[in-house]
Amino acid sequence: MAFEDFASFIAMGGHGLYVWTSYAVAALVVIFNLVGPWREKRRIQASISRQMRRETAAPKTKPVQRSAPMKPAHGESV
Amino acid sequence: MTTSSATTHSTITQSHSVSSGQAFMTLLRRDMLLAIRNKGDWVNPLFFYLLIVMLFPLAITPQKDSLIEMAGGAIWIAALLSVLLSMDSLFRSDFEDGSLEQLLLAPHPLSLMVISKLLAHWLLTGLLLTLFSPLLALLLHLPFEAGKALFAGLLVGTPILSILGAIGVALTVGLRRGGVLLSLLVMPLYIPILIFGSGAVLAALDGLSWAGHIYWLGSLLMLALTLGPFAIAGALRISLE
Amino acid sequence: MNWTFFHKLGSPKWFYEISGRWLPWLVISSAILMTVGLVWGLLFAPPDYLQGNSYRIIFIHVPSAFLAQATYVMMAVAGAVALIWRMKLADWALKCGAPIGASFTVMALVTGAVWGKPTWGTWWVWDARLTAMLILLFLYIGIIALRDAFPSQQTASKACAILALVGVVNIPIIKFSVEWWNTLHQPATLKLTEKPAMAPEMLIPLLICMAGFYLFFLTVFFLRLRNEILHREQRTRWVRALFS
Repeated sequence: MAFEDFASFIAMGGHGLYVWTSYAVAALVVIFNLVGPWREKRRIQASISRQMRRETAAPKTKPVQRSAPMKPAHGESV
Repeated sequence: MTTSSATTHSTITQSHSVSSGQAFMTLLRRDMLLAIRNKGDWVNPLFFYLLIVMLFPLAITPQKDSLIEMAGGAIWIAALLSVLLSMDSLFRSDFEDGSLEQLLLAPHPLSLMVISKLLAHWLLTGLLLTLFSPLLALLLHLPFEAGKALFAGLLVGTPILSILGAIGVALTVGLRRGGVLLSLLVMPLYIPILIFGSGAVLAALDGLSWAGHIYWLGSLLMLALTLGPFAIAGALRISLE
Repeated sequence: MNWTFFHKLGSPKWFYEISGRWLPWLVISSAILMTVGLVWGLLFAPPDYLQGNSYRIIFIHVPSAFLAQATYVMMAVAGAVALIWRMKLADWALKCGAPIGASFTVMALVTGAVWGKPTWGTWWVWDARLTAMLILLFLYIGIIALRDAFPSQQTASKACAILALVGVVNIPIIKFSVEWWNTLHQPATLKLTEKPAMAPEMLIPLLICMAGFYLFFLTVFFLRLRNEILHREQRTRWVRALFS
């Protein structure tokens, strides 16, 4: 252990402000990278299940879906 | 414009009756003629260049010593910005009137045609900026040796600016709001040229040999000349899809 | 050489399944490594004889700087694969890498600047590494801005692939020229991370942190890529089967 007590750990030998600012920025970047995809995932999941519910509620659209080619087009139609 | 579309059409119908070398020269002549007729294309960047250099003494200081120190950097920044400003005219009008599409369909290597267009563009912007640099060096009290370094650097460096700029233009030519985006894409790539170019002037001011800087610019030019046209051709194909 | 792995990589469905299996392990191992490395670095590594305790920023600065550059190279490789083999997944990898790489670049810049204050006495020094990092940030911003500017996703990803390749050719040139410029103008007396030889008590936690951050990158990269796959493949049967 490089520090004698908790207070000296926080103080970092007078450099506490710089060290903890850096670590706070790092924590922000880590959180940004985790929360961003997580919210995106919820949004996409919601949109897909909404789409599927709409299709089961209105079965008229189903034949249209079936008449599409066996291998559905990717990407660009989105 | 008439010469080029006639050439490209005839090459398609008569299949390979025009050699790639002839097509290169025709395209070069056509682009030069068009640019000379449309004076704004080459006169405006030149005045822009002079204007920016004029801003430096006004904004910072007219003192001789400080002016000498920043002259190389100021002239290089001005050259960089005015090349960037002039890049938009490289493909824009050809894109709008459809002759760019003809160029893509022509049976000649697109990268060769791109070099021809670049050469025409450079002769009327980069070379012109280089030729006017002694005048600016005089205005900023640059000594003769440093002026030589500036001239040599611009002569070798401005073609690289044109090539790198053309990659950006080729990527953004199909977009409505290309202008600011173009500078955002291209500016970071310009940094090494700026460093070597203004570094040569500073080395000359310090009485050191500045040839090394110019050699570096020369090797960067070779690299840009070998890889650039392919990147530009690829980007044009994507933009015109 | 067995190429089936490469061809399978082209299948979004296969990647979605395999990454789903890997993800828990990635999360656990990156969390463990980052915790161990950072606690070791903050609490147990000895203070630096020159910089005191401020050097402890190294444990986040160096991994983020490494990742910022590695991500760009990864994006360029993905761009090349996308252009040559027209692999959808590589396109999406290029897209998903950009925000992660840009965020790590920002992290490297900010931690570097904050570290500079106790070391050099100013928040910003035109140090070669920091300047090159700043230019890298602009390269990332360029790619993100270019993608946003295109109305069509397919054109955008091809244009971004070309830009990433042009950028990756330029990165060594930029780094070299900036270093040269730096030595000519102001020979830096004290470099942040360069030392004759780092003591093992400091080097080992640093290496653990770097491994942890690389795994963290893989984790969040997979998360983004899986989202992109779900979004792009939402009309396919296998995605619908996941939701029914």
